Amino acid sequence: MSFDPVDRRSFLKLMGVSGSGLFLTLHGCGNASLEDGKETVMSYIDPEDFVIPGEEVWYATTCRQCPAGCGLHARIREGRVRKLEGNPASPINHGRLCSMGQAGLQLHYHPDRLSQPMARLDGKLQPISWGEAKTRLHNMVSAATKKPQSFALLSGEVGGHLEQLVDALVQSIGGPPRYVYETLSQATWRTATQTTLGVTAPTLELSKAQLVLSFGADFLGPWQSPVHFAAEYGQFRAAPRGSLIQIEPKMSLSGANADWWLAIRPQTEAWLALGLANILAADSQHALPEPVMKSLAAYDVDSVSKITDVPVESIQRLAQALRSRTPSLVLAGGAAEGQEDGAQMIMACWLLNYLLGNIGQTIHAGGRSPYENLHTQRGSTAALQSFSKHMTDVDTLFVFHSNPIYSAPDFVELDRGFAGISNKVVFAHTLDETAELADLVIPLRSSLEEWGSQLPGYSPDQGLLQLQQPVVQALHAEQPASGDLFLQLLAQLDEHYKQWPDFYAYMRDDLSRLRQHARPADQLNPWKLPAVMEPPTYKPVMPEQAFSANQLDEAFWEHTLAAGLLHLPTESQPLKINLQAANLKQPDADPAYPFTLIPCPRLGLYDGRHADLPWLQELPDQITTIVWDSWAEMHPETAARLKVKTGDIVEIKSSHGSLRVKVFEFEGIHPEAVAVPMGQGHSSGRYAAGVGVNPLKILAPIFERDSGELALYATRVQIRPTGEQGAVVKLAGSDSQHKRRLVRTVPARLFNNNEG
Amino acid sequence: MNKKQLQAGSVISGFLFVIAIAGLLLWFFSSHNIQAQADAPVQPIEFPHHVHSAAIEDDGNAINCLYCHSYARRSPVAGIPTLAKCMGCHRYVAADKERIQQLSRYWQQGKPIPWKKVHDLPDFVYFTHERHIQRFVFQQGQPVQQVCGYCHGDIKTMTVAERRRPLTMGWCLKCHEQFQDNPPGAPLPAEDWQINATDSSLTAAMPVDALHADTLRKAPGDCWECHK
Repeated sequence: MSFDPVDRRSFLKLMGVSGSGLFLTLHGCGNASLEDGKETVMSYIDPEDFVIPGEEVWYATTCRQCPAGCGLHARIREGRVRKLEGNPASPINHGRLCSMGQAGLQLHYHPDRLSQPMARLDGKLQPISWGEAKTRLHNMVSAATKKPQSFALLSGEVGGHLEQLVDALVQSIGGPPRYVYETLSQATWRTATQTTLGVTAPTLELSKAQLVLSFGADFLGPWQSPVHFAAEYGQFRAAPRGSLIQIEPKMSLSGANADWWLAIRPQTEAWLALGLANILAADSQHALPEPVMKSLAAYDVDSVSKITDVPVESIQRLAQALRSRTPSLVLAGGAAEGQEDGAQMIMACWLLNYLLGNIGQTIHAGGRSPYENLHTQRGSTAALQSFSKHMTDVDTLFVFHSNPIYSAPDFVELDRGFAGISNKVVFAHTLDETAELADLVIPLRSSLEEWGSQLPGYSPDQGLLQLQQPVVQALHAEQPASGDLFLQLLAQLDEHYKQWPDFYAYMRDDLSRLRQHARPADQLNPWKLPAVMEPPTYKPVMPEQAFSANQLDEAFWEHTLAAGLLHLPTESQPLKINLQAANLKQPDADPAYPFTLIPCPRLGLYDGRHADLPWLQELPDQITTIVWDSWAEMHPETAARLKVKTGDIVEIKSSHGSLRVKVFEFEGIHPEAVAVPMGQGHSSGRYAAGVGVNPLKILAPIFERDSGELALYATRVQIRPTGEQGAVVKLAGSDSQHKRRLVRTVPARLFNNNEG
Repeated sequence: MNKKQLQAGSVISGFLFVIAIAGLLLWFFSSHNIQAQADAPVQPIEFPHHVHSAAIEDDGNAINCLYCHSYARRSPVAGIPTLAKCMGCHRYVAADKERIQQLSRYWQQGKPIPWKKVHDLPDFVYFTHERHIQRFVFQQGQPVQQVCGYCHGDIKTMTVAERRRPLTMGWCLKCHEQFQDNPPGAPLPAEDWQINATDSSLTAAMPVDALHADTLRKAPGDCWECHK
């Protein structure tokens, strides 16, 4: 080690430089973040009195992330929406909100949200002005009235007052009725329930049941109303604790929470349900009609066991559990419903409930809806099928709140049909797969910027109407709300619609008319608002007589908006029981396609509509904990037989297409099933494109016999190893305790004995 | 001592010297209330604070700070007065002045004025105006200009506002720590955080009240209090 000589001069220089550096550093440290004059602080121009910068304001509105229609409270600060929470006053979600609802913020602030309309010019989508877009729309509508059959409107579920306008437009033009397409439709459930019970949406009280037997209904997942049933489930599990038995070919989130999870051979759930009915009918107090009784004889326990791959002892045990714990509740959905015999499965579910005496105990008719003029046409996959048949006649197509090019199976050949339509108008938030093929793209406002109303997909109370209000000003001020746009288009065709200046006036006019049906108590002291929401100064304290009609109307409107919902009394209606003889067709075994494909939906990406929201991509799958990917869930026995392991890439091939995906070995699946989650495999979207595969594409054209719905879970596939490997990215390190006994389990019987 | 030893000795003593300087500087910064002053930023309108807040006899209008910064007593942020509030007076008052005409143009166009932040705390600092204003002004009855002046300096002497206090963590704590060693009734040390208020009687040091002695003198010793 050697040093260069340091003279006195250099030493002092060194000290000087170090000292100054130190001084500057220390001086800088204290003020490092104080940057005077760098940031801008905007003054308000003329705000409402209650707007205080730095203080939050909460508005009640409705979630539109799925058809469940949960009540929302949106937190606003400085004119920006910051957080969404559940509305405690809403009987749908009781103040809770699921992950999809929370991610509504990301849709609102999505970086690729369209701000300007686009038109196809020289074969390419290019921005145009709103004036031009509106002129084009008006011209298309005018032209369509001259040739009504060449016009079609395809949408997702819309609901409420907006649906009135959309349907009125279709009627004014004179075209075929609107095609309402939803991939995760409950159409088979509704058809079969209507036939059997006389209502489409009976009230289901999980909380009152001692035992819930669910055939594939993932009520903690996307089935019907996730947040509502999660709350019901919480009460059901509170002491005295109810028991949950879940029967399905692939474990769902509800299945993972069950006390007893039973893997059943795919497409045979109805057999087991009828087998159980056959056992229970023998000693049930509830008599069955002769033809039904006779038809059950075919479902003896031995043949049912053989077909379903459920041991005889398990079937007997199930029957015993159902007999001993009443009231119970039998549900069906998901993979059990999406079959050729789906309707019979739902009917078998009601048959079991009838035999167990659950009708009137845990199942009620629900009141008659007081909103006669408001009706939500529920979506179906049959609508897509009928649209595809008429596609060749269509010249002008409006696609509203739907992305059929992504979700339609390949056999529908929708893209080819699309190419033949000369005017394709797509209303969309971002440039999704369907919008990319459009001739005119009309940007949609986010649901947090629009007025609206919603009859929830499932409601324990038919008197409920959820209200949607703009909680912030539109991010893109010039962008019209879809309600305003449809009203303008309608006014062009029908003078009647000229009386309302905008959609807000239209909606308020209609709702004010309903005020007379509301109970006076509801009008004056309407909803049980949480303390934070209660505006004491706005609360009318005078008796009703003291108000003029206008004042009462104003008070009613203010309270309705503050509550975020309207609640009207309902008339009760009886449940009819109309049981029908069962006649199941045994599924064909095709040795060329030995597996059944289960394109399983999950909370988060839902049917794929949320794939472009990174929060929901990042959210691990509830069962496998995999993120940002697709995978093929298969039983370890199946994997061993195919000589593949987790991470290996296989080709899954149906008669209508194939996809390549990584294997994930999992014991919660029947060995004859392979599950690929729904929602991935997008070709557009900043966060969605290029992630995973879309299992909907390879579905075979198999339809439910009664409702005409696409049998989502009935496609047979073959699996071929490709020899390639990939990595599965998941949150959980290992599914096994590696014999370390970190979590010890004992049978419930032993546990109860130990607890004395 | 050979040459190498000499060289090594020089370097070591150099390091020691630097450390000593550092110690001195640290002591200097922590024990002296440095009046950090930043240049006034260029604002879209050269707003004259002195015209609004100085005493009548000093050619001002003696407007209460909280009249314009009305959010300070209700919110963590003091806020900028709304354009509507400015125009409330300036539709008529001094409407011929160039600056007011500038203001009117914003109002007519319905555009907010892009003011530059003068007192911009880092994002990891939680400071609430509301608590300070409520305590000093509404509970103790201290004059508003005096209270605002603790942190913002003597605004009535400025045109465009400028930062006169360091607003660093040490500076905040220095004020809060003062209460710790003083029993109720004892005069607070009148330091340079006080300003020369319009009324000379207001410059007298405020005594420590019982409330301070009981509660506030412990505040805020917890990191979480300001770094939430």
